[in-house]
Amino acid sequence: MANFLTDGRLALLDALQADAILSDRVRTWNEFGPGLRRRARVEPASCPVCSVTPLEGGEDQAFNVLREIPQLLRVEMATAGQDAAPCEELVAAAVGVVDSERDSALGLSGAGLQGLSITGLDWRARPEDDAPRVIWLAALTVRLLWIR
Amino acid sequence: MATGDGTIHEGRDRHVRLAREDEFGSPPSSADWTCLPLDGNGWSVRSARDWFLPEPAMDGASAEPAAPGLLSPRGRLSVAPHPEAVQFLLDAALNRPAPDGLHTYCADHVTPVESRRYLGMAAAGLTLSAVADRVRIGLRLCGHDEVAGTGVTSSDFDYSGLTAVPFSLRGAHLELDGAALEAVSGFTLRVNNDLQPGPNVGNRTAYLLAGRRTVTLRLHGLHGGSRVDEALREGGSVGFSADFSHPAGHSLWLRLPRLLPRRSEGDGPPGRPARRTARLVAARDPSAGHDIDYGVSLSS
Repeated sequence: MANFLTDGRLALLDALQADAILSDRVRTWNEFGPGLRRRARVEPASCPVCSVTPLEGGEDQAFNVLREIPQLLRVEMATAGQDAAPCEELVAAAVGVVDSERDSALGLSGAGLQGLSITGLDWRARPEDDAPRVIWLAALTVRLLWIR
Repeated sequence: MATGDGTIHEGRDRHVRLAREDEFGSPPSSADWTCLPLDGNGWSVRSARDWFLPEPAMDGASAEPAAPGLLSPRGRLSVAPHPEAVQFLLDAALNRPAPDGLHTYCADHVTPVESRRYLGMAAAGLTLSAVADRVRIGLRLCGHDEVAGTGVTSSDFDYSGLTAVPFSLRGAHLELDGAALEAVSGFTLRVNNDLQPGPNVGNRTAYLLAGRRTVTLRLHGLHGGSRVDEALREGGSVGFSADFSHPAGHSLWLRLPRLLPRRSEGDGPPGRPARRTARLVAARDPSAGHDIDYGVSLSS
């Protein structure tokens, strides 16, 4: 069932999947669409992994007849191995995708999307304790601002 | 604020629309209304009346019986630059059908409590502030008359022709002979039309005269170069150019070909980046023939 929040998340996913570096490197895309249940569990065998998930939202009645609705999405990327560079490469590519989509607002300005921006980036190595293999996790927070 | 039956209403229940008048102070016969989404508390127009208080010999602390002055609606409108409305708003403040005349407008303001119509409204001033995605247009309005109980209701307002997403500032810079000199983070443009009321006719202002336009520009965050300082020291001028973009491909541009620097200053709190600001006043460029120019292009 289409709604502007789902449209925004899927449009960002499409833009990421259209990127040459990401489409070449990412082995598993967690799309969280219909079909068989997929778990968000990250295993070394499925890496590199990229997923786009809803994170947070809000509403501000900024105008008498229009609301500003921020939609925060988490773009998570994971690579197996202690070398952080492959994960950094994915993050750099994702940052580039967000930058390149700023002017066109993912083609959703007609639905009220004003723009998108990056508001945060978290890094984590998992597992943190002693383990034979390390997985680097990067979580990029992308903010979509809707005016509707 | 409460309605007659005690119901509380909020700012979202207020509506404003404007239409250009054919004749000063008369509602247009076939009005082409522009309904405007208000930015926050973006409408403060109300009627005001001054009172003449005679001062005969002091006969106590209380005022003598006073004579009413003119009724004069005045206040501010603040909106975002929605693509389909921005030309309408800029024309209201900057387009002069005659050297001493501005277009005048009929405005309807409706809440669940009341409906008011303002006639003969003209833009005494314009404020355009722009920093990245935050662009706002403010009009300082004054006019001829206020009429209550017009029968207009919220159902008469149609916003379907407006794109919800407003323009964003794409880039602004100072320039000399068409070449870019310094980029600017943001700016505030102010226009004062020096509006003067005409004579009193029927306890209302008969007409409004626009005087010499004063256009000032405040630049925030000048990046690199020292052209403003040089122009300030030498008594020279610079130009200014700003472009606004929209995800749907619409565009808006603003040009001030001849700006005279009045002041340039900088600040640098210890924990924050040092920033330079500048204040300039626009003058008519002899070659361009104007002090300010603008244009809006809507992609189909």
